[in-house]
Amino acid sequence: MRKTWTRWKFHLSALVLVASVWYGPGYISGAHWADMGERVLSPVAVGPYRATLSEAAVVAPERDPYGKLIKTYNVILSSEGARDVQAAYLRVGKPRSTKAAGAILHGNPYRLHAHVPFPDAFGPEDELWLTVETWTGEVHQTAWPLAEALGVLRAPTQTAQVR
Amino acid sequence: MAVEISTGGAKKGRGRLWLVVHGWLALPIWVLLFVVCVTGTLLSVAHELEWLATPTVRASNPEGVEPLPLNDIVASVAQAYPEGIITRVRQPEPYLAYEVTVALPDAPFARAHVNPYTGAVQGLTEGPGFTGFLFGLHSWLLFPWTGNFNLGWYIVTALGFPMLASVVTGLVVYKKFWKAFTQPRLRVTKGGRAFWGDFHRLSAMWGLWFTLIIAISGGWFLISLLIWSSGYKIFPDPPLVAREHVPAPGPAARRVMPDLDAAVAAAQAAVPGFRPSTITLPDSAYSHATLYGDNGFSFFGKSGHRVFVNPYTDEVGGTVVPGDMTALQVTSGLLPALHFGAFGGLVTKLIWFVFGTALSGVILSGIIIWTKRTAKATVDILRPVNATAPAAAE
Repeated sequence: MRKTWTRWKFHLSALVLVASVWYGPGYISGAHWADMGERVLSPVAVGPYRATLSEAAVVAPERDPYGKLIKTYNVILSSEGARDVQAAYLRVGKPRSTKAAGAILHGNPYRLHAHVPFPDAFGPEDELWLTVETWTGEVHQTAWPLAEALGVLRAPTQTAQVR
Repeated sequence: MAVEISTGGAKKGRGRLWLVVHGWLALPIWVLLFVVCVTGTLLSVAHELEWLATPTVRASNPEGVEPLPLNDIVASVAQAYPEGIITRVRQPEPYLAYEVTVALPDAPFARAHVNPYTGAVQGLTEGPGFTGFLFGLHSWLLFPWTGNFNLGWYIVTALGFPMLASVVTGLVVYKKFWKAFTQPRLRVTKGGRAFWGDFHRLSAMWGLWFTLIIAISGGWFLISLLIWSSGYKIFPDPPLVAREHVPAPGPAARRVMPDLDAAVAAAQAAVPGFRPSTITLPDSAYSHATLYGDNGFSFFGKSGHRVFVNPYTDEVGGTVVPGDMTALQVTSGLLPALHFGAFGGLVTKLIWFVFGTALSGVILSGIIIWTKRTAKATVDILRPVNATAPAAAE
């Protein structure tokens, strides 16, 4: 027993590969490979289309090196939406116009994402607004309360604001 | 040949200690290190292995005709997949078919393989494919990504550091290491221990430059993910397309496919001699098409130059070329290209494959040597420690 341990303990790093075998089929089938994100919410209607919101990771908005409080969200638009929409935006708080609709959604048309700026103070009643503008000029909107859209709802760290 | 183990004499003892340190750097992780090295070695020629195995990725040209314009290539894919939205066009090597990423509702990252000479869509890969599978296994052990965190990525890239330390301690242990070049020796008739010892030293020394490149660039991948996770942008975001250039919404407006041949011409006017290898189409109505390429041989690889082209006006909105890069940008451009070894086409890929095989052999022979000898040396070195603290042993 002891001898076996002495001999085999140096091969234990092979155990990490058990995880690779475990995750392998999902990666090959695309479940992880074309990952949607975390905390995928039920699709909601935005005009004639459906939008599915998720968080890139369940974390609070983080301050980037440029001093902005940012959180990345993913949005899947239904197929017709992916083709019809000229641009789509996410914003905390209702946009006053389509010219200031927030962070533009970009990336793969079926796996859009946006890096959404957050205000220094926000609460569960604040809303994350999705604005989509089609090539034909129609504008559709929907919103999620942050209580729903933010898995980790807490005030941002205050240290960065001290001046 | 009997190996004498003695801790007597300070100088000799120190030499033995270095040997044990050298052994222990790879010992607890050798299986993982070996798998990462083998998959990396295969990855250096993954496209070529696919070329051998699957005719659909070949750029066959039996008629000996000129390659088609890029616009014809994407038109061919658009016709084959009317539901699809084309997001990227790439041709890693001239002997490979175009790989056209076409986003389909159920396969957002599907790639169509298109013959550059006939325009025929020869096949479609919906999942990662052979190269993508190897890439995932080698780079992050297929662990899942959450945002920009992946445990597997950190495990793999951290291997760069013990690898680097193995090089340093190996040189210390070897002492007259230049002998591997001046008097190379590979004893095949003196038993396993002598053979594997000679093989280990010989491969390690001749592949020293390669191991240094792989270890340093591997460690860089750890740092680069940390930088990326922090939100810091090594390459600033390309400029957005001015609002007045974007077609106004209206009854006749719709998503437009940029004129790729005009974009290439614009890029070539901005960067003389520019040869595109990958084009990513605008990822929103307000973004540029990005053309990745080179303008001749470059250690930055075949995608080391970037040109941003306005998809509506075919004007160049910006360029990123090695000559204008900051030190950090040079690092992040150069080290990955050196890691992959694709910068010189098939020639460097084959060199990387040979030295990758040698490096895998160094790891394997190191373990064989250890089981044949160092196990005993380790026990002898540790014995005095164990004798004074028996409770702490094992």
